[in-house]
Amino acid sequence: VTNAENEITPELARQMAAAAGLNLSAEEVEKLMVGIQRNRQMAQRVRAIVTPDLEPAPVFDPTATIQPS
Amino acid sequence: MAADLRYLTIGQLADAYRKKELSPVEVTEDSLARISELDGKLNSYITVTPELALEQAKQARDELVAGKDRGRLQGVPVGLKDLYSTKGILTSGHSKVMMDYKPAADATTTTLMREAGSVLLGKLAMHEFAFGSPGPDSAFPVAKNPWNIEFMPGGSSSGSGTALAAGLCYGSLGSDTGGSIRGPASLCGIVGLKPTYGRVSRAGVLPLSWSLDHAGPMSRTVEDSAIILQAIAGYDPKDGASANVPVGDYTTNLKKGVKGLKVGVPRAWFDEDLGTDQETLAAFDAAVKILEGQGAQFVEIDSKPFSDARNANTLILLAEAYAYHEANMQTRPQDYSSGIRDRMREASYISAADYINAQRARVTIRAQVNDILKTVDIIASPSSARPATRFTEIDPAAAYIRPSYTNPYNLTGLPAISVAAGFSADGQPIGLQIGGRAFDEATVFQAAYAYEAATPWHDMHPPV
Repeated sequence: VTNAENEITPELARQMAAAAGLNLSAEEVEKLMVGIQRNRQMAQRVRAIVTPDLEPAPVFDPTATIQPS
Repeated sequence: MAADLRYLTIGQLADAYRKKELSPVEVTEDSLARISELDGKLNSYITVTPELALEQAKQARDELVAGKDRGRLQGVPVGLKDLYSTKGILTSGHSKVMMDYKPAADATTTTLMREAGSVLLGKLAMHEFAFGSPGPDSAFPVAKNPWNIEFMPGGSSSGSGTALAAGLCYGSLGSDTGGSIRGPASLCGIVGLKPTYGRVSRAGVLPLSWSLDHAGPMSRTVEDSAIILQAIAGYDPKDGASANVPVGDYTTNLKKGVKGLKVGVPRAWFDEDLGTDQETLAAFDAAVKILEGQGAQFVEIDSKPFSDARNANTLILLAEAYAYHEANMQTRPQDYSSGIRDRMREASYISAADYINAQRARVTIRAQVNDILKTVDIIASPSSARPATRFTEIDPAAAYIRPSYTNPYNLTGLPAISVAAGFSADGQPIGLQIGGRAFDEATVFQAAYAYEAATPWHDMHPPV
């Protein structure tokens, strides 16, 4: 369900939305396609600057005792 | 006097109160009258709180008479973006989803502003959940740019930009996840500072993207933003990202000047994609000349980390925002306006690997920018790639085809300010952005103040 450029097709987008609990019509999915492909291109550009030794930016503090509001 | 009164700075108000030339009650009454007179066409406020404002103004007056001095914000009328929790007062996020939400407690920053003696005029319009774009199905009227109401004021802290530029408050708190303080500051011709991540508590502020959200001041002058930051900066155990780093003095060295400061300019970035508006570039080059004339030394720096930041910032923002809104997007999508609903749905397609890789790239980009900041003191650029656009010309996709000058500072967490830097031929404001080292807001303020003091822009007001 991806095309030759490994892009998400509208049919796959509809199936993915349903699996994520989003009930989208074909028209609603069509409206999203430009943004979906743009985000995937961004993700590819991000992968190009990630090296194997990199850990994600730390956000977890094991010493915290207070539940953030 | 009436017209001048409305554009006094916080510093001027504070002096006038202590010289007994003005009273907080008279200034608050004047602000409420101006809101009543003008906001019907500007839509900067969602909620006005006249009874509370007058009560707080009387308290400030009485305390000043009694010699209880809470500092420069005492008796100063302010507005808060409508995502700062205010106990018992609607905090809507400009959304139907939160239409009835009256928090049980104040945000930490709301409390700090109250304890500093400021007067709450009301809650300010914004883009829905700090993310959507203004549209006809917005839950509340859309704020308009007071320089020309046919133009956007920028977002997402749109009401803050509008109200400050139009003289409908003296200070405000905005929030900034990809540029939402600095964008409207630039497009409305005012000042907005995104502090260092962790510098100001986000506890009680509706989130957009936890690892990119920043709370910060908006005002008409650099000194006023420094005064507000002084009141709200500091460690807060209620905020998991709050930094326990000593708070500096933001006003003492304001007038120190820029002589000897080394300023980096990522010049190649300015031409990225569709590039930067020519009038904006001309205003930036004029700003460089002014600061050079005062002794700052400009050098070109590597543009790549700034250019790379947009992709990682956008993916992190979208993924975290979707996580927050997922349940509502599944069960009540009709309560979101179309501008945010479609972007949220797009965000649902970002994979866990995409998100984590963006957080990994963030480490590299942050290190690259911090390395640059070992060789320069501050970094300068335009605040926005172009001045405000007309409401009739809004194109959400357009944001992706010009450089985003604000994103890198959210991704790296470094402080950055936007200060007024001129006007386009059709009268729309242009902004200058100055970024700095982590927790060094003082140097950012110092450079911005030097530029502001040498230029007339902050003394110019819209024709409202």
